Amino acid sequence: MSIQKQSFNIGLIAAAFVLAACGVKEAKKSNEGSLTLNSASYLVVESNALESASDSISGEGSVVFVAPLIEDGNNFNLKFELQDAGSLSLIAGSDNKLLQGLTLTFSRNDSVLSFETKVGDTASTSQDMGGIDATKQIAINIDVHNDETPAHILVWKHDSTEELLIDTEKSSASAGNGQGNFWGLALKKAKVAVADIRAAANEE
Amino acid sequence: MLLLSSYPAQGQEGLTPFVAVDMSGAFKVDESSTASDRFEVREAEFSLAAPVDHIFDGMFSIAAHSEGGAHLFELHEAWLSTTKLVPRIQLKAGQFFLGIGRLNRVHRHEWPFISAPVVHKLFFGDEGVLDSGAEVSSLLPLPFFLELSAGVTNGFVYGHSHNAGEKPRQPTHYARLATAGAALSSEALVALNYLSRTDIANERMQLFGADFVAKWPRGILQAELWQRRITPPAAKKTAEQGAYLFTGFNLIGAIATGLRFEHFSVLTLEDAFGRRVNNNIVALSPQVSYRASEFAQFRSGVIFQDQTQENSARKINRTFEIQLVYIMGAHPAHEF
Repeated sequence: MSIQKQSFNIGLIAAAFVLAACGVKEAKKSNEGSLTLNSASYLVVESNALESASDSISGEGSVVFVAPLIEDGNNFNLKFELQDAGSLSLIAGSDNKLLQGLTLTFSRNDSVLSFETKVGDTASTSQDMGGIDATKQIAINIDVHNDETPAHILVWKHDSTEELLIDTEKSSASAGNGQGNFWGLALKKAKVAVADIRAAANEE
Repeated sequence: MLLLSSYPAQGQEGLTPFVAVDMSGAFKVDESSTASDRFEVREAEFSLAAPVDHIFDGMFSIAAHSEGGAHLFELHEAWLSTTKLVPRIQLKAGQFFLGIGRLNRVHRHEWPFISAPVVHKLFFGDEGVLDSGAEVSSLLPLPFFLELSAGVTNGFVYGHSHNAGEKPRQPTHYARLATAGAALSSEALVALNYLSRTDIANERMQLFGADFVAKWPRGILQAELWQRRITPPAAKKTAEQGAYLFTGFNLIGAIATGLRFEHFSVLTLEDAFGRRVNNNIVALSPQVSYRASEFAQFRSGVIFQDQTQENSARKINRTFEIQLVYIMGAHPAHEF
């Protein structure tokens, strides 16, 4: 077969793929009733004394972000402050009511920040996170690979992957897997300034 | 001669050792890329293949992967196979890459491109799905080539796992129907695939797929289309679909070019309000390779990936990739 004919056949198949890919029309939907943090829309799931501003969420309660997760591996970038005995939980892979998810909880006891995970009634052993002063604003970067069993969690200091604080493959501190495709936050005496999601930083 | 079976042919000369080293690097083209900016040994595989006796053939391989920066060897494949017990039937038992699809049946250093397409990465992992069990393959007694394969494996885990998993309600089971022949002046193979597993939590996963490969003296066309359906016990069913199409063409001498187009979408994606969310991942990946011989090749390429999701920020990922593969020893015959 000539190269010309071969190219034509390849072109036909490629065109079919392109048509299949472009079949879905994009349209904007309004998120009426939702609030935003750093332009990401969220819904309040539970509020005891939750305060929402455009640049922060604070107090006590929980929120779920409107946009669903597509991939099983995601990176979460958090900046938050905790009062003493306060905590912030990141719930990954939950349903839209924050149920059936993998909960990563960061708790403050004086200047010490501790970390534990939970799925249903199964909880990991709590471990202290050295190198972080819990009395100041905490900036961490978290990978949750929910496609591994149990979910592989990596926590780095700051918004980078330079200083690894936790790797659950080494500490066995992952309680399991989330079953849904939403994510959210549960606050207790906490103030969250940044909660971003990106593609997983580490694919190992 | 084409080798259409999913089994590497082993020579009659005895033990066949070989080492395959796959080095790769992924580098950010722009800041939004998630590339690691690191060149490393992605996989170093040591394999032994040999006839065990007059009936059975054996295969054993260990592979080192980078886990947190350290390269740790682990069992890759270990299986016993025979074509001599029952006429037209191949039997295999042990730990192996499940015999479905195209990429999942071929070791990564033999792929025609550097990294896995999105659909393969999400449904089979960065490399492929390995498990322990048995597989039977039959060349049906028809006037044309039609091979039916089926397998059952433990299914305690599926894909990349760091524990032994738990006994599933239904083990991983799969089937593949493949036909091959000459078409459009090429040698071509097309197959239909099915896989299912129900885990201990009663969540059922099903994969439906088709794969196609055609080869010309100076070119290759390869494609896979997959749909995954997940039925949880107490939640809505989900469906995801993806495909890739790769074409490679030998330009001159040892230099070849290639282009991969891919698409992925979650068909049932809903937002927290319960409204359907349109979403697409589209990627185009041109590449160029230098193949000094069957045993050494260098490849480089760029991935242009565009991810759109209704009411979310568009994500663009541009990554430059390089790969160096070399094989020492007598590598078994490659798959068609």
